[in-house]
Amino acid sequence: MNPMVFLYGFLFFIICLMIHITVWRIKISKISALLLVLIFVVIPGVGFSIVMLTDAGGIKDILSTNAIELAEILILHISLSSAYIASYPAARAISPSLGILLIIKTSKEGKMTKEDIIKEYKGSIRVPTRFDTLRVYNLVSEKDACYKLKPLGKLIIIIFIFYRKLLGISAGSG
Amino acid sequence: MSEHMNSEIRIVIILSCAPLINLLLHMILARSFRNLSPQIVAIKSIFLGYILLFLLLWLFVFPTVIYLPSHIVTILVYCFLVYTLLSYTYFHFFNMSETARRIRILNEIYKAGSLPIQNMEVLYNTSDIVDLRLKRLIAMKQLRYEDGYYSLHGKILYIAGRVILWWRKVLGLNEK
Repeated sequence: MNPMVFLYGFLFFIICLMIHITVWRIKISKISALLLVLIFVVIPGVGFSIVMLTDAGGIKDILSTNAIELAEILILHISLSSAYIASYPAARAISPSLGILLIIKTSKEGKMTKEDIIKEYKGSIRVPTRFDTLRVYNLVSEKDACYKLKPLGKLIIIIFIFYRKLLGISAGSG
Repeated sequence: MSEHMNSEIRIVIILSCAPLINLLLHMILARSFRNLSPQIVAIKSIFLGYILLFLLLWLFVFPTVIYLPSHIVTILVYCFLVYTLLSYTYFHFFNMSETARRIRILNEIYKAGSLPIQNMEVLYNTSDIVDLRLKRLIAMKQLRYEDGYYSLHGKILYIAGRVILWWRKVLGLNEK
């Protein structure tokens, strides 16, 4: 295996990361998750595929790689990217679990009761903020003072229900 | 096509199957260890996957070509890295199904057909959210509960939280 696969895989990922940081510092979109997939997966994936099929710009010679090595570079880049995208929601809205750990650690005595933790969190992890995201991504609609699933929301939850059934476990508690 | 190219194609195929390997092993372990924390079961299935990955390389890649020791190390490092990253992504997908409030909300609306807006806050209030997470963090040995107080036990998730706070600053998320 060509060791340059590591260099190019990390390099392409870092380039995408730089683009991501630049775009985010200019303006954070409401559909940030979709943008991430575009920056890290779709555009590089399409680019790599074109290069692998057509050797556009003589890239294979410039990188001194063959088609299989380009595939290995793409796999490494996609792996790094998917790991980053999977971690992003925790950064976008600090997950309650991580938030709880942080506030306990920084509390006066390094320990807290449940009531103090709940008081600290009241207002910062309200359910309505989660609805904003579901609405922006067209997963739910609001009609006659009720929430209903849109087709994409229904598809997503069916996938998760099927997945949990495959594992033989009941739905998560959230 | 040379034998080297063939073995590299096998590496690509084996790694492309990593998510499926994760899922199959997780399906077996989730049914076998129902009393353990779901996250710990998922992590155990990932560790088992490393053994399976090495077995697949041993059976289908290493015997086909005579490799220098440095090439074997390169292949192992690459496979280990890619499998770890894909497994990390798989773990997050599973954890989302287990703990994400948005998924829970979608599930509640799906089961009911439609849900009145005022029911949602009652159904899923701050106290429940915190309570669930405290139980989970204790099961994952990140928190301990003693004499009515919660305190840190493990360090991994706390360090992850600090890294995330720093990364939010880099992205400018704290300013918006």
